[in-house]
Amino acid sequence: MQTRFASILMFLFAALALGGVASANQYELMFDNGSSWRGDDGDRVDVVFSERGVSQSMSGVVMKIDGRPGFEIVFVRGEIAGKQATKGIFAPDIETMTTSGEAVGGGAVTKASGTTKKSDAEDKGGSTRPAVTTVGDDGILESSKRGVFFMPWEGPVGIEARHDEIKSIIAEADKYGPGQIIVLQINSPGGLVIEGDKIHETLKDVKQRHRVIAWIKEAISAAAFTSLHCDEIYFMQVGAMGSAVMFAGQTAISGGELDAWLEKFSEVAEIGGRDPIIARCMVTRTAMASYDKDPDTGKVTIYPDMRGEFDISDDKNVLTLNSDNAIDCGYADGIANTTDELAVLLDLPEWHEVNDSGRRIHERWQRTVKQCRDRIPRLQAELQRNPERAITLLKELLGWYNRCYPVLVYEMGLPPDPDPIRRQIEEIRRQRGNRN
Amino acid sequence: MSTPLRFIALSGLLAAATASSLAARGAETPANAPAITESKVPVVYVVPMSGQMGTDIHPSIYDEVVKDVMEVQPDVIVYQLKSADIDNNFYLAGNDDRREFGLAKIGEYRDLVRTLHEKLDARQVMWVEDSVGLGSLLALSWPEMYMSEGARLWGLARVSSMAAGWSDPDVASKMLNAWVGMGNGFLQIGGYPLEIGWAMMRPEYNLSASFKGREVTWANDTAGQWVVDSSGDNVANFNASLAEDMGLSQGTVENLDDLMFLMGYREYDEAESGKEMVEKYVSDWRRTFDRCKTWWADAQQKMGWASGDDAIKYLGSAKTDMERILRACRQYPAVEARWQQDYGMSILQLELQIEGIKDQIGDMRRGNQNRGRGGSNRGRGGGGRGL
Repeated sequence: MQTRFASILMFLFAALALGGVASANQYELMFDNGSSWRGDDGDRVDVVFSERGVSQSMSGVVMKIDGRPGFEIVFVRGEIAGKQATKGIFAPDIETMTTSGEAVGGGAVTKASGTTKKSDAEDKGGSTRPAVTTVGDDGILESSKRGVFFMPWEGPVGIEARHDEIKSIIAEADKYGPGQIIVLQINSPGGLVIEGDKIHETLKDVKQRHRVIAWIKEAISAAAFTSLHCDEIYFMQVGAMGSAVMFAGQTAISGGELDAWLEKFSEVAEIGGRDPIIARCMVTRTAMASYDKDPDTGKVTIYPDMRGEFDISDDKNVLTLNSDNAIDCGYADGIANTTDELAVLLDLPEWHEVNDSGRRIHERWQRTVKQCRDRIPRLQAELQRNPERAITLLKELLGWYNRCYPVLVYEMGLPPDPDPIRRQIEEIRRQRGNRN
Repeated sequence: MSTPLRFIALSGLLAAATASSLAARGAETPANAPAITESKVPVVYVVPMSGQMGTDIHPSIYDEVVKDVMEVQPDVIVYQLKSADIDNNFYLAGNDDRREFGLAKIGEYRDLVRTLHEKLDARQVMWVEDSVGLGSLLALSWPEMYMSEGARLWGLARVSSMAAGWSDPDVASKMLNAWVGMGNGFLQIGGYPLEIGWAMMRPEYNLSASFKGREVTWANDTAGQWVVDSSGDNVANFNASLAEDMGLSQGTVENLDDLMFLMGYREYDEAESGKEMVEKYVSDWRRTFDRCKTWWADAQQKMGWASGDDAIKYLGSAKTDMERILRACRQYPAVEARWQQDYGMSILQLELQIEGIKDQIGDMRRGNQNRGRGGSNRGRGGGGRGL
């Protein structure tokens, strides 16, 4: 009953916000990790915060928020050590703060009843109203405003741009049920084939239930392979996509291996609803493509040779498409330089991200990669300078294998199997034991 | 970097200084003159893009410029490009330094171009005073381009040279076409056809144009009415007159007054803050880099002296010099790029060297203390580990 009452209260709050009559005391806090909280005095919240380096949590009611932006103190009244008390929590120490029942970042979440769901649906498409996320009886989340799950996907494939992040944004979209729009903003020079294999399986699967969009700034090689899976491809005007020759060392694959790669690329193009002839030109220099275009209907007929009026790729070049030729031959669905332009192409009333999870997923991994690139050379230097700390430092190195394997192995060239490091730690321990 | 005082100078056009150039065109109202019904004099904001790509022309300074433009809210933005970074006859003889060749990063410039296009809401014009090398990608990123008499739009062979060094023909073609595709992205945002990009970046491509009324059709062959490049060994290049004849350039100009007149403005105010910011940035980073060279030489000398009683003193002083270099690299990406290029050291490597010196000093102090407990606090420091 209490939960239901809270839900109704939350909906009242949401309705007020939708009507543009938000309380004058409404607060918005942004936390260092990118999450945020918006609410009011009297809201019931769950707070996770750090105190003297220890992570703690408490539930309670917001009494007031004081202090200048960025350095607020949030006074929460709740149970501390078995009795009711008010605790002042320094905002920069807060890791997460959610209104009770809130399941995702961004807008407030309420538990919806059947009737409220109906009014919620009526609100969809409102262009100036803030979004409200509700939880249906089936546990599926629903956003009051039609929007996208947006994630930048940048850097070398398999190192910075990974399958894992794609899976994470899909998992987020899945919480909202089928039919969501996932936008991957692609800016990658290509990368590892093994990552491409994982991406292939995942994107093939997700297309069954969501609409997946590639928005291309740079999609070279493995990134082109990834983009071709998507239901729709939009280019930024500066965009480029292609050059997907697979090679090892200095040499391109050939023979059966090349045939298999050509087959796979063709399959991927077809999965994305595109002609495989053009896709094959991205894989090998000798494949050709040209096309005719019906001046009345715009229908494109693609040929695996140069007989068409318009050339795509001759037998001397691996293909990289730019926005002009990608659009003209029907390989791209439109050009969007900004999110607003993309919203129009996606047939959305305005650009709206259902939540910021995709950006956070991206930032989190990019931050880890940066930390790893910064830390590992220091670790190696410290190992040389302080051999007496070798065990601690080697254990930290093992920890980095768990945190950031691709940078260690594919970028820094450390051995794929960390077992020798474990053995080295054991050996040092043994030697020290013998000395003692 | 502090924002310089904004100064808006009223420049009367049709002044004696430009009379000769205008007389050549006649004094009639320009054909493309915008319909200005208000008495307000349009404000033009000049953004210099002058010097070496990758250092002088660096995205980091243009972030500041963008903020300033948004405050000034000019009617016209003129990008004044003067960069010939792979040309032996570099016009800035005093600054010419071949070691700066090749420091430009295409991705950074692509983002810069996008930012300028998307964030700034004013008529934007590219004025090429001279461009050889990657600067030509910037030049071709704006559809409205003017060139100075004798200006060059050359040197995009540099893009395909980035893909050199691969022997396997498929891999070589992959790399080449990836780079050329990225290069062509600049032409696409500028509204230029891909055929021009291919001919300007790839020596084996020809270029010709056919005219139908005012419409120009470009092709990578020699079958057009006007053959621009029939050589299979060289990329296509444009000088000012050829670019104007072919419709790439809207006109050839002598100076800003001339340019503004061609754009249809008889008079204008010039916001000079952008010029001041960029000029200050260039002189600041170059001066800072020169200081870094001195600090580095000082640090090396001091480390050579770091023995005996004064070891800790000299090591500490060397550390201070290196910390100054580190700060300079962090403040100016141009200094960082040049430092890496000339001294082979990244920011991380500098940090590691500084940490090494700190350890050395710590070891020496501990050694001295130990000796002190033994009756003497004098003696040689630990030394030993070096850098």
